[in-house]
Amino acid sequence: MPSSIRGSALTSRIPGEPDQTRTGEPEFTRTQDEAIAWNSTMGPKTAPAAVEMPDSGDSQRLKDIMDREGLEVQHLTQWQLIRRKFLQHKLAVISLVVLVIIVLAAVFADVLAPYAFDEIDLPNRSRAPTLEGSHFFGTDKLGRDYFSRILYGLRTSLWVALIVSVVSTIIGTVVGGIAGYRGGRIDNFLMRVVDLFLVLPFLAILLILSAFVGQGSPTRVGFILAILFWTGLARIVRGVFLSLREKEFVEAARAAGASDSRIIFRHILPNAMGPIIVAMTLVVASAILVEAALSFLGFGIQPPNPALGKLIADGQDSLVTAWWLVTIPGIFIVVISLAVNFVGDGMRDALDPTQVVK
Amino acid sequence: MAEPVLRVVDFKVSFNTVDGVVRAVDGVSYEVYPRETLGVVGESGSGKSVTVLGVMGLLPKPAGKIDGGEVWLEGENILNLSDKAMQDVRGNKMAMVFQDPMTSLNPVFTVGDQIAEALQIHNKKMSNADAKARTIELLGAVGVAQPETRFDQYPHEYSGGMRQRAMIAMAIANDPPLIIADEPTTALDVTIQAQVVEVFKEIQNRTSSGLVLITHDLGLIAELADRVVVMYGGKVVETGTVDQIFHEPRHPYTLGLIMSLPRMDQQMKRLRPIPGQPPSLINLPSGCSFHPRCSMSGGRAMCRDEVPTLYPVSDDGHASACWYHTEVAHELEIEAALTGIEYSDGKLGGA
Repeated sequence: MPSSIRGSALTSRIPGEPDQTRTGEPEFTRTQDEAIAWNSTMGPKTAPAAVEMPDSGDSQRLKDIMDREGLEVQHLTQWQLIRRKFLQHKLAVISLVVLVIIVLAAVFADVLAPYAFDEIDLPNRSRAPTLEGSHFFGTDKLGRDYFSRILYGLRTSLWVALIVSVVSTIIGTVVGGIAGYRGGRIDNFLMRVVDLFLVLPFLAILLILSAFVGQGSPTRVGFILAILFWTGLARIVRGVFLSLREKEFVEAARAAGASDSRIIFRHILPNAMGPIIVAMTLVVASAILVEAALSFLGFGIQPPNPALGKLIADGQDSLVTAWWLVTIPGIFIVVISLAVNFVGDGMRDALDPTQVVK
Repeated sequence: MAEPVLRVVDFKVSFNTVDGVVRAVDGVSYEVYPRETLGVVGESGSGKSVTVLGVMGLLPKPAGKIDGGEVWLEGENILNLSDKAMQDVRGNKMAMVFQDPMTSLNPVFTVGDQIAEALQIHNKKMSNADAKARTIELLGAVGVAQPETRFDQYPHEYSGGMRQRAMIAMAIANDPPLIIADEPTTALDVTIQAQVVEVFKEIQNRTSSGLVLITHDLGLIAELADRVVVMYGGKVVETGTVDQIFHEPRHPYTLGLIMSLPRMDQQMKRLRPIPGQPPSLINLPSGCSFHPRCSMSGGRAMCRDEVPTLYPVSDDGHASACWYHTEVAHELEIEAALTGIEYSDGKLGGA
């Protein structure tokens, strides 16, 4: 081996360290000692003193050194980091609390509602919000307790939103993932399908589908909306997959013999979770709005089942005389949409590893 | 000598680009024996990385295409294998260490998980506990201190050198007979390079793997390689032992590489860079592709018109693809005088 070239670009020896002789023993004591010396940032000069130790117990010894030198490093897992970053986003945290309260109220509507949502009480028609008789949000034109109707309406609307976001995320991720990972002709074909869905006259299709297939069932309406919402997700997921599949760790995984499905599910998808979760929260917000619009037009949820949009539609003709019929469900729609959007915002910041914890 | 682990015969790879067909690798042949380190040097675009990507079956699709040749891994022609069969070969019979350890690890999983994964891909029955134990052993073997703690850390908690050690641990996880290292130290700073070089040396001591070391760093070659393949314009222009290449180069390109390298051990008067640019692979010069930049060609018709093949210059495997390789010995003396590198007995360099 020509030692003449040594040192041109490489320094194989660290000044101050004893010349290593290759003993041919299988253990890597020297390299390990070296690593210890560097890790404890004590510099190579003092390394020999630090590494005079029995072969076993290196780790314990290093831990002692680190404790003494105050070099303890606090470990944070990925999720701990994400949680910490999310908690710094005040608006997102407040929104999350509000959302949780609203969701719990909807889930436990049976327990919380003072009346049945379709219990007609004609003597108490069109009462303004009052504490009397627990009509917190007043009553509607048929004397039905509006607080109870709102609770059940929330349940319907949130259920629809959940179905829309889950179904459209699954479809969007699968389609976008295949397009982005495979690329080429498959990508082209799938993206043209997405374009096709995007150019459809949204509202007209929705109205026709809901009229013939929806039949007023929240679950069916959710699936119908999902068919129109997955396209945005597919585009986002495709973009993320396109960039991730070129990453070196994907190539490294392939070089280690990983199959396509392993690369997609273990290496790419977890890295794409940030954008996917954020897009999903945004879908929730717009799904609530579109479902409200659909019900408002009379093609969504059918009476007597309440949904937030349906409640507004029913109350619109008495907007002047009974303001609460439109205002209260309206406020809920706005609050839910805003809260979900803020949570999405917070999640995006928290899931982006390039954002530093302050 | 024993059977080679890897034998590449007349390997050809081309890329279809908008500008035309790029013949990135054009008839490359080399062998790697067990326990041997084969250094592959050359400028950027000389086809050294593309050759091994082709060998690994990792050429970008659909642009990259293997046009011909054979790749024998432990006596099996792996170019004929199905994609599925290649998955079993990759990581198991041959493994690769990539250039940039910063991006070669998946940021959302712990390093330990990823090494254990490399084990479990090829050993489906291995339990998680066994995989973890073996991973910790591997991390220790490549010189990661406190492997038990390091197992549960994420790539961002590792330094660059540590990450490259982890990548090496992943590559040697299944004791592959062949390890390919594609510029393993390029992204690291000099002191870390030295540590990684040590790790490679130790790995070679311990296992019987053959190592293909791709680099444009001649210093690294001198440190690690037993034999060297010099590539230019997608072809092998010279091959020989590391001593032959550094002390008795027989190709003007190799000579140019040595003369353009600053050295600590020599009182050099000046560096002699190779004039011109590496050739465009779409439009290679006729004849010997190095002739427009060659100080010896002098416009000779032979250089311009005829493509040289590898000629043996000694009976122990030293070969050069130069029509006038016999003249290089004389050229050595001239160049040595100009640069101030020691020269005696027709050999360059001090040691």
